[in-house]
Amino acid sequence: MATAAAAPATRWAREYETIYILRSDVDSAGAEKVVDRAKDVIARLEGTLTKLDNWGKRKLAYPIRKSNRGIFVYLKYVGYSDLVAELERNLRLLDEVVRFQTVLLTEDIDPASVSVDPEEVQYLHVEEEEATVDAELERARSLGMAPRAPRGVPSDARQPVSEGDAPAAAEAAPEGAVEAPAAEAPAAEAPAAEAPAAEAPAAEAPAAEAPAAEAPAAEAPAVEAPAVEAPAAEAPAAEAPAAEAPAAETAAEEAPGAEEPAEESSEAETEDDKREEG
Amino acid sequence: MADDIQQDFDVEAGGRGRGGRKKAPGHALAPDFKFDYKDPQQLRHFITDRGKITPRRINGLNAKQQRDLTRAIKRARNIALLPYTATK
Repeated sequence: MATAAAAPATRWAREYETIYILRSDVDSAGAEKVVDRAKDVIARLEGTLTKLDNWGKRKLAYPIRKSNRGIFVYLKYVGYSDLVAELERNLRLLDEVVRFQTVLLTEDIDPASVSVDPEEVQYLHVEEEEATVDAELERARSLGMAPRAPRGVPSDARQPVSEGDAPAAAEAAPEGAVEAPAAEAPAAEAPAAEAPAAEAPAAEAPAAEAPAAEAPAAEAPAVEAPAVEAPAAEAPAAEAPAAEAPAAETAAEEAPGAEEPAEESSEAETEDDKREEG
Repeated sequence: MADDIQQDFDVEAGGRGRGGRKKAPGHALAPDFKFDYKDPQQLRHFITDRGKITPRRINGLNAKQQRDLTRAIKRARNIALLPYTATK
């Protein structure tokens, strides 16, 4: 008994939004008809329409009923779940409506507290509008996505494009290094697998950001030679040729030359090696 | 020994030795940021050319943001604001 008495005290409503899409060949009279029917349903089931927005004719992301365009209408209202069911049933019955979707926005709203701005529920006939490039860029920046695009490149360059161009961009501009690592990685790994001596140049190349993209690829042949011949050359290779390696790009002839200091210090290095192994 | 060196290399490469991709900055989003399914231009930054949702590994979002993003993208797809699939 107590619960029955308490229940009608406040019946919490919910706020929903519904978007429906009309066939693109529907004229303004047909569109009005659908809006009126929706308003009627909302009024009949004690709901309150708080916002009505005509988005106009838009391109669909995929064809619906063999049409690539549709008229989008947005409704925001406060009501109960039976209202949603009834509204969707009505939309389903209307031939003009090709798609609709209702989303719950807020739960537990006091229906008495809802105020409606009459301006907001006017059904306006809108012309199509296209988003400008500037607006899109601004949005990208607000999402923190802009830094991923190469700096110094004209700002209208789209992001997906820059990703594909990364290797080429890396050679031209050091800023491209932001995107480059993906392209770099395989190149950097390959010499490491082949030769222990490749350890140092490969590891340091990413550290030196600017030539990073060029260095590993160009070095690979030069580094192979000492590696095959002398594993003992590992330590000097790690220290000295790190600086030389970019210079040694030109020929593999220089690589044996780099070995000579390795011979000199090889005794000390082999001792080091023993200590490491032991 | 070769194995040791391989490991060293991995460490020196900054933990990306497995050939991973550099993480995108996700920190630019405010902590209470919500994705809006009615804003396809915003969501387009988080789908691939093919229309797939980008993984967290790429977009750098945290788990909560990624769930929110996924929900928004799926709603946007349903109402034809975003494609389910796209050809390149």
